[in-house]
Amino acid sequence: MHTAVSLGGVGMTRFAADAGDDVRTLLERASTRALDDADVAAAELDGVVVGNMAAEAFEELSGLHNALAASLGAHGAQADRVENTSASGASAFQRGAQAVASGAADTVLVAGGERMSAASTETATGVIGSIVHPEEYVHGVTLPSFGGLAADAYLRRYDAPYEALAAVASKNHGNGARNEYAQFQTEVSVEDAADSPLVADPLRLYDCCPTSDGAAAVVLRAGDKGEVVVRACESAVGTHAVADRDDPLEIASVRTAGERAFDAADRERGAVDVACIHDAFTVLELLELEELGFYDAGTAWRAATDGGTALDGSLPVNPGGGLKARGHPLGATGVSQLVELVWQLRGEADGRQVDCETGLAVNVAGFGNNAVCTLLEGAA
Amino acid sequence: MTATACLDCGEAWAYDRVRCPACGGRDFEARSLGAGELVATTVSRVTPPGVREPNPLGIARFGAVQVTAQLADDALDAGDEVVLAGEYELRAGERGPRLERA
Repeated sequence: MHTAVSLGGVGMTRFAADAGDDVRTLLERASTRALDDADVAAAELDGVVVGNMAAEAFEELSGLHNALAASLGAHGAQADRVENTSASGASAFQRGAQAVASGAADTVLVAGGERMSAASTETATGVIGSIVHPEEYVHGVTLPSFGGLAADAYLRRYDAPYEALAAVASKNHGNGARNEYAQFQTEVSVEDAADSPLVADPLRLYDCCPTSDGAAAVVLRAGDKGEVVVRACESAVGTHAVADRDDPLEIASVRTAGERAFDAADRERGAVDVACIHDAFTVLELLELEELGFYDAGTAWRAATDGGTALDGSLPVNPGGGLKARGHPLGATGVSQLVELVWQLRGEADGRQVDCETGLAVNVAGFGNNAVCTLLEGAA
Repeated sequence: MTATACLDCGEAWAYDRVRCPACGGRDFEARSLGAGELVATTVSRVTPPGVREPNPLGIARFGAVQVTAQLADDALDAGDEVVLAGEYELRAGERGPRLERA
C-alpha cells in the first residue's frame, strides 16, 4: 500500500436469527458505533462503502449505500455498494482500504450488513443457492452439500475421526459464549455436536453456520497513527464450479489471497497471533488454515482436537465464535471478523482476550469462489 | 453428458465456457466422459424446493475432468467406478443423468 491505512474505530450489532430491524437500520446502528469509537463526524467522511449480498432478494431494498450516507449525514462523500456473495464485507473493506491507500480518500466508513430473516426459508434457500454453478445447481447441490463432500474427502484421506470436526464446532461455540455480540452464546460439547442431526453427511447441524441478521462497521483513516494498522488486504478468485478443481480439498482462492497478503505485508506465517477464519462449515476452518500455510495438509484437525487453535493455544482461531457461533449475516461477516481483530489487538476482548500483536482474517465467497485475506497489526 | 475439449490445446473441462481456460481458444469439440471414479460422496438431507430429499451426491473424476452430480444409488462410495448416464428428474422440470455404478 502507498499511504498507510489505520482502523480508527469499529462497531457492530449483536448478530441474531431475527434482529427485528431492516438492514438499513442495522447498518446505521453499526456505523454510528464505529464513528463514535473513532471520534469521527460523518461530515468528515470522504467515502462510504457498503458490503451487502442480496438486500433486493431478502428485503426488496436497494441503494443501501446512499441511504446510509444520507442518514448519517455524510453529505458529498463518495458512496458505493460492493457485492461479493458471502465475502461482500471484506471486499467492501478492501475497496475502502484501497481508496485510502491510493490517496483518493482520507477517511472512509466501511459497513457490511444483511438481514436474512426477512425472507421465507424458500426464498433464502433460493438466494443462497444461486451462488453455485448452474451445472451443479441443477443437481440440487447446496453449499452444505459442498461442505459434506469436502468433509467426506478430508476425513477419508487423512484418516481423521468425525470428532475432529465436532471439536471445531465445540471450540467456536465456547468462544461465542464469551462474546456478547454472538448469535449463539452457549457452550456445545463435542458429544452434543456429534449427536446433532445430519445435514450433509458427515456434516451435522453443529458443523454448519446459521442464517443471521446483523451489521458491522469500521472507520479507515490515512496514516499509521491509529491503534491498529492495515498491513495488507488482498483477494483472489478461484473456480466457480467446485468440480473444476483438481482436488476437492483445494481452495485456491484462499491460498492465493493469503500468499498475496503475506507478501504485501512482508510477514511470515509465524508472525500471526490470532486468526478469524471463514468457518461456514467446520471443515472449512481446517482447509483454510492449511491453505493459508499455518498447518501442513491433513494436520489442522489435530490442532483442533489438541487445543492448538483454542484461546490458549499456539494459534487462537475464531476467538469471537466464528461464523459458527457469532453468526453469518452474509455481507456483515467479513467486517465483523475485522471488528473482532481490532478488539483483540486493542486488548478489549473481555473474557476471550488473547495475547496478540498481529491478526489475520479470511472471508470466503461461496465455497471458495473468491477470498479476501487481511492482515492487521496493533500499534507498536 | 459429454466433456468439452479445446481444439487448439487439448484442455478438457466439464462445464460450458466461452473460452478455453488454458489458451483462450474458442473452438471446441464434445468428448465422451467414459468411466470415472467417485472421489467423495455426501447425502444432502435438507434440499431446495423441487429436489428429492434426501439427495445423495458425489464428485467423480473422469481423467482430467470432474463433475458434481446426483448418485443413482446411495450405496455408491468413494473409490467406486461410475458412469454419468440415464435420464432422471434432477429438479422439478429438469431431467438429466446421474452417476451410476459402471
